[in-house]
Amino acid sequence: MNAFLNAVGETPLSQLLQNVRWLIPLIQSTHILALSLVFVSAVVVDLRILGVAGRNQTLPSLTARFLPWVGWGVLVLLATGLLLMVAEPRRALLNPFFQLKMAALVVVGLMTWTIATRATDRGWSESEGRGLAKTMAVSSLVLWLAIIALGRWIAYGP
Amino acid sequence: MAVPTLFKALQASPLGSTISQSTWMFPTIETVHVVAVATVIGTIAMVDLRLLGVSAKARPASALIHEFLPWTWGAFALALVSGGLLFSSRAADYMALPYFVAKFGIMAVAAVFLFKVPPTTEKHIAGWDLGKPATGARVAGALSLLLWTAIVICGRRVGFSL
Repeated sequence: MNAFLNAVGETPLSQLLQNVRWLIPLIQSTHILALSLVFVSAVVVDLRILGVAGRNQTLPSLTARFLPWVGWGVLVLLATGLLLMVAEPRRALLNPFFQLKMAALVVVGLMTWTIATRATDRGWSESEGRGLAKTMAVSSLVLWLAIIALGRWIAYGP
Repeated sequence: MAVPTLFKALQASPLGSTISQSTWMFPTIETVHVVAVATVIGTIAMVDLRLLGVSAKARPASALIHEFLPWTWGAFALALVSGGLLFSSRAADYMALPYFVAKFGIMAVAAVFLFKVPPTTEKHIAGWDLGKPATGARVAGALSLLLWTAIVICGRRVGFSL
């Protein structure tokens, strides 16, 4: 692991990212902009499932409109996140906040996938599937907040 | 009291020194700030992208503005409060940073957009509520997106400057 982290840190890409001072803040800014779209889009769908917002629109119409933002946004987040990881492999990979963040991301990804595929089923989120749908919506909200919080706390990790 | 003295006093105040001396307060408030900023930018981007005619073209722009704007304002208030607390911890140091000053200059313009664009849009929206946005609306949407992008870039640079 140690050798691997050192090897990543010595690649030309990592060196470039470490030595050009404005690159990291710019990549982080892109990360934040993509995160904003992902977060708000996911929250819109979650709040609709919970019946808090958007009740004048159907769930499938909202998932069709907003989940593509989550999908494409997460791709931008993975790309920019990967660059940040290459720039400082030790700061990221050995950091418990980073590890938890990735675990939360996998779980929320699977849940969003489920919401995306089940939303068009008649009945899901309306009658028999309602309890499960609401549980997923609440978990998704909590996990996205946790992902943002853990992301910020990487900077303060041990 | 001269202005720099005022910022030094804020930094030395019980509020400012409590935040700067605590290990967990600054990162915790920062986390709230990031969530608030993400909500402001995500919601305003949805409105701007509609004004640009990029997304949600089947949805009346007026309905979209009514749905998203209250969240933008609520989150903006939270961002100001959390940002104010972060500022109090090192007020004089922040004021010496060009990126910090630039961030607030740009934000003043963005706030004018937040106040002016929705009512102006609604006044002229009858002609295009469900169709291709008017030129003015598209220009406003594009400028707003650029302003908020610049605010994020400046804000992130501030984090690297202290």
